[in-house]
Amino acid sequence: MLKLQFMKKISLILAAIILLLSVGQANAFIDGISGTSFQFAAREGRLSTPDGGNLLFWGFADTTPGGRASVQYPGPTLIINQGDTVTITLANELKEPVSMMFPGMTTLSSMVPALKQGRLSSLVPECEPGGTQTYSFRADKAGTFYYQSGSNQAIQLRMGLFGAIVVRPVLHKKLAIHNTVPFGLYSSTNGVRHPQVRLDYNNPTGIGGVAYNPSNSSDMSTVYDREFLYMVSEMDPKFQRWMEFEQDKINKPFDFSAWKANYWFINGRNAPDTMGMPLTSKNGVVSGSLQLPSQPYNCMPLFHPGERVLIRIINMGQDFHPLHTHGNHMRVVAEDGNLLQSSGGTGADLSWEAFTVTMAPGKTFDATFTWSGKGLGWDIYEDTATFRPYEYIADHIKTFTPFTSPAASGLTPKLPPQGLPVIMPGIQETMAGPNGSGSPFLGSKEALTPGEGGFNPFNGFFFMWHSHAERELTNNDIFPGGLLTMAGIVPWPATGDNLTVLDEYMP
Amino acid sequence: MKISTQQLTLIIMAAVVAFISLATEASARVYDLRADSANLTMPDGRVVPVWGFADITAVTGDGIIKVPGPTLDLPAADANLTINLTNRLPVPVSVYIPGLRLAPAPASQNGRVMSFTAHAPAAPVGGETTASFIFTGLKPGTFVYQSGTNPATQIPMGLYGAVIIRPAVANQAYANAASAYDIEQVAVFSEIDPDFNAYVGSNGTAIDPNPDKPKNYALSYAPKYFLFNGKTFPDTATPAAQLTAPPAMRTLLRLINAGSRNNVPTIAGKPVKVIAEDGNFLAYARDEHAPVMAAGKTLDVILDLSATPPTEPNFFTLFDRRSWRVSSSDATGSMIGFISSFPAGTNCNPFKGDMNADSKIDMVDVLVLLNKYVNSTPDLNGDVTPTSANGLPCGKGTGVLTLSDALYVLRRALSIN
Repeated sequence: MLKLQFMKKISLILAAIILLLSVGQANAFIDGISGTSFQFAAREGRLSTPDGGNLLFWGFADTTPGGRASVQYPGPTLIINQGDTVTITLANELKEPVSMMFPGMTTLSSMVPALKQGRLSSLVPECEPGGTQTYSFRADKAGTFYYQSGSNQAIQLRMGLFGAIVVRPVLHKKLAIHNTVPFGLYSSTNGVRHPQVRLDYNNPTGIGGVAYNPSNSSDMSTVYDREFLYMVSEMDPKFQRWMEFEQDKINKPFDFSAWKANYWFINGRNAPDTMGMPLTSKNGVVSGSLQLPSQPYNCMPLFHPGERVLIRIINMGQDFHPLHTHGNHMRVVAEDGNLLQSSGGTGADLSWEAFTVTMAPGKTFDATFTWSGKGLGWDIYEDTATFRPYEYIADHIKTFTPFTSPAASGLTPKLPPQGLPVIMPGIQETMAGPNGSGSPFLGSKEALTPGEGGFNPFNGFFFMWHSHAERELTNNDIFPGGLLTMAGIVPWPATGDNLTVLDEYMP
Repeated sequence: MKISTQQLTLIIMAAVVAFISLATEASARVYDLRADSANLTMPDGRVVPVWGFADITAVTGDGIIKVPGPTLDLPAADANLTINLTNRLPVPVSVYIPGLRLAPAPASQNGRVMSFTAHAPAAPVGGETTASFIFTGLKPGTFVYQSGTNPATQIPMGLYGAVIIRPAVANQAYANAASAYDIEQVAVFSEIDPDFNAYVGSNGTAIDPNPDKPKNYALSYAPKYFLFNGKTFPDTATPAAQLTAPPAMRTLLRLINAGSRNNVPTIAGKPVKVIAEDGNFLAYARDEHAPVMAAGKTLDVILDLSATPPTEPNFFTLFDRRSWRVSSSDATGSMIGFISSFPAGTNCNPFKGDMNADSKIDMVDVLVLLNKYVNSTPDLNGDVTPTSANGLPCGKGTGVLTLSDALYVLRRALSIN
């Protein structure tokens, strides 16, 4: 028991070290590789878990000249354009045949099942150990998809032979200007009205995009300012160890009916590593989370109030996971790469709003999310002078109802008269966490307990986006961890803010 | 003529009775089912006791206990469905169909509810009991019938089957024209925990009261075989077990999850159109490549090959995207089915070449084929060359064997794909 507690402490320290090494960073677009011709290798690798462990996995490596060339979990995210014909030449460095299939794509290479001694070995032709096999498909539809091995899926999907595919629509960055859309109850700044979403994507040097081809010129349903990938998977360490040390299918077979996940991943990482830096490679210089060499992708959604965020959700596990967004509801706009509009937008709108989306195995969802503070009932900026971008007009200048503390409690409200509608305990009794600002207001900060905070340079709000199956918020029973990340609402830059730092923080 | 109140009542009663009996005659399909035990042999040789239903309806029924049970196929004209159940199992059994009306009559045992409806009592040794169930207000759709008694035990044992209720228009799943199809197939998904079935099959209960080592097999329920129409891979690969979706046609797949796990039925490389859920036609169909099918749910999906380009593979794998929860690493026991879509008059089954029908292609098959070749014995199963443009062993269709057939089977036997 003592040893276990010690181990837990060590794990927490390790987790803290990893966090310290890497301040969150988010790009406007999903990280991945682009092109139409790739060379992949299937090989063995190791991934790190935040409790200090590491697990064996099988993954794909981008061995295309100029590629990162090292195996990764999940495989490289393919970012391709609608209409592209993509060819992947796979080299198999594993000891058993592997293959690649592309659900939702128009597969051009053979789809005939592969047999081994006349028994089904793969749903598509395979690549023998030491050999190569070429797969090709055409991306006829825009959307969110994935690739996976079609061989021996009981083992190979559990080992990690999969990756995401993002297909950019033909109209990506080419739509007509849409920023005249009325923004209803949102504020203006200095007399300039802000559109409901910051459609910089209309600007060739802007950052936004569109996920699907709009059905008509006024359809903005999948237009976004920033996109984030949410590819989830899971592992049972018992199985990974069996693969590493036993693999004796005859005398000591693994009982798959006893398989039970104890690690849950977003983009190949467990929390809190999900919030670390991505591992990036620019001009041959590798930077970012060097301590996670085979888990290059992070998941740290950072965005400004009023921006529309696109969440591309893919479940490559075998269990259902409920994705819960704090802060606001999300609107599911596409499923399996199909826009949720009937008859190409002329019929009913089939998109739906939810605060929990059941991420089903083998499925993809695209959801949009916007946060502005609308409807909270108080001024999130604690500021009576100016309107902020996308500020909800009805709540402007609204203060909290003055809170009268019960005499018996002996506590006093922290921020009269605009304190939170709860009694804030003293600073010695609170923990703010790494993303705390000490203030309930967006863009301002208050004193923190020594050692707290420090990862929130612009004093944003942070909301947990996580699996609502609470058991999945652990790393092998150590809380917090697993299928969890924080989404940060970062205030629009104010006078005096260091824009260089902001650009680094959220490009 | 003066009619007394009493006479009037009698006349009205007679009219009502006449009307009811007329209505009953006009539209009330009756199925006679028998519940009994049977054995299923799994592809790894394990024999698993099951409980199933047999169709013992006069003339039409074959009396064979099946898992899943016989499909109840009801024409549009039927307003009611009567199921006369004969029970030969040592436990009480009933039938209910989620989504259809049945007067509720929960049955209790020792003060606890054990059945959603009245049931046929446990059969005495060597004997049988009976009960009847009348479902009213039928509507078109795909449904599942199952035992409503101690379902946690009886459904995993195999007491379930498909119900199809048809609309007035032929070749449509629902009254809506968007549900039109050229051919239809039923696919029932379920699963088996062989230890659970073995104990319940022998003892009639999942609870082993052994004072030294008590065990509840329902609590330790862990399925190891995942069934597709009652068979598990590789038994699903035989031509008889394969579904057919001819090219240039719209195939209606009536998908039913009779198991207790959630499934994600997926057709490799081909999205489907989900047109109905639980027997309810969807106003707006959904295109999905991995629809979710929760336990007890039914989905009607259209596999539309009517716009098929000639490069279509002509052979599809229909598998549970979660089916890699299997008992062995060579996919034996997993929920993998196949849909053949060969041009008319051809057999391009990729599993062709298994000359001795042992579910695998090895050197024995090469020898058998060579022997037949030498003796000029035609065999359609060995007629594998030439292959189609997309690599399927369509053969010449004559059964005449050639050396290239032997070479093809040899390559398969040596795992050269």
